[in-house]
Amino acid sequence: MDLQELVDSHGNRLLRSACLLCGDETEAQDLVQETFVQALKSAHRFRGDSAVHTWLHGILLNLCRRHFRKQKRLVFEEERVLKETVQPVPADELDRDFCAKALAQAVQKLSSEHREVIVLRYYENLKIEEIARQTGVSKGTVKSRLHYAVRCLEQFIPREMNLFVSGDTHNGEP
Amino acid sequence: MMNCETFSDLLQEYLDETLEAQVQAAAQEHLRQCDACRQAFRRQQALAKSLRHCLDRATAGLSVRPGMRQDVLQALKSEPVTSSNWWSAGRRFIPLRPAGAVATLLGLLLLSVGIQVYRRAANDGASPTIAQTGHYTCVINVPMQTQTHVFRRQDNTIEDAVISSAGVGYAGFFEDREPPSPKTQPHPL
Repeated sequence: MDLQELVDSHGNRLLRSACLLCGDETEAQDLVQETFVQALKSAHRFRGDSAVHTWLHGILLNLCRRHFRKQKRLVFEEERVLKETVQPVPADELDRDFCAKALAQAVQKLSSEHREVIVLRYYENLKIEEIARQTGVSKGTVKSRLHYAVRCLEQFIPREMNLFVSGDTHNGEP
Repeated sequence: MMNCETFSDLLQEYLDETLEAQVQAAAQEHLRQCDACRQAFRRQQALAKSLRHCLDRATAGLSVRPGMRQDVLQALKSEPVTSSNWWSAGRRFIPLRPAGAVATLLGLLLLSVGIQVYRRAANDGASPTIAQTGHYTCVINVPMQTQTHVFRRQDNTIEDAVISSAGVGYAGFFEDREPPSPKTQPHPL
């Protein structure tokens, strides 16, 4: 596959995922660029066992982890989380964009491990076993992290947004 | 018959439809009968839908910067050979199986000893030269695999990059020794 084709097909989605993972657009752009560099360098090792996007996202995830490790040396993660506080939400501002932004901000407050599973599960739409493969942990650990991450988000997101209410209108079948 | 605890444990896989057919059917049967689990299931579905929608919306305006392709090619072109690259190149050259690795190391060791013995034997016949220069040098060339980036050029623009790992380079190790200095005998008096 040609590089331009690769950038056109997967660039934007990788960038959005990177932005959710690292919380900064400029850093996300650099991470995506490095993802393509790494992909080209290791292209001969890609055997087509997974989809191209899954392979590229795996590279991105490793780069994000390296990025977080470097960042941790500068700012202790818990310290950064404590500094940020959830802004109270005025009732008249509860539109969809506001909810989306608030959720993206809340995702940034999670630890890197919990943020990873949220992004992989709810943005990349990966199945539990695919997440386990990408993150190198067991399915049980993925489910546990997912459960904890959602509970944390529930605390960060104001109740008025109704993000975590049950959908009684669904028919109950997958 | 599946109980609530098992269903709760398998809920995510049930949503993914990755359970074995028999287990999937048992979970579905449990869902039909248990109000609490049905509610948990609906809540999980609604949550997934909300989160997906919000995350999509929050990042919808983002797109890769123009010239990303050129930046990638430029980065590939200007990337220095780092220690990790050398390590990976070395790993590719040296067999990864323990027996092969041991044999390679043993071979290198024997080569090194052989060179030392040869040098000493040669030096025995040419001792005046060593005595004159005061040094002798031992050079061992070790083949190392290198990576090569090949850029396809068309109309003065770089079209694409191809990575090759077929090149072979040499790393040299030098050993420079002083000859032993003549010992001064203490005066008998």
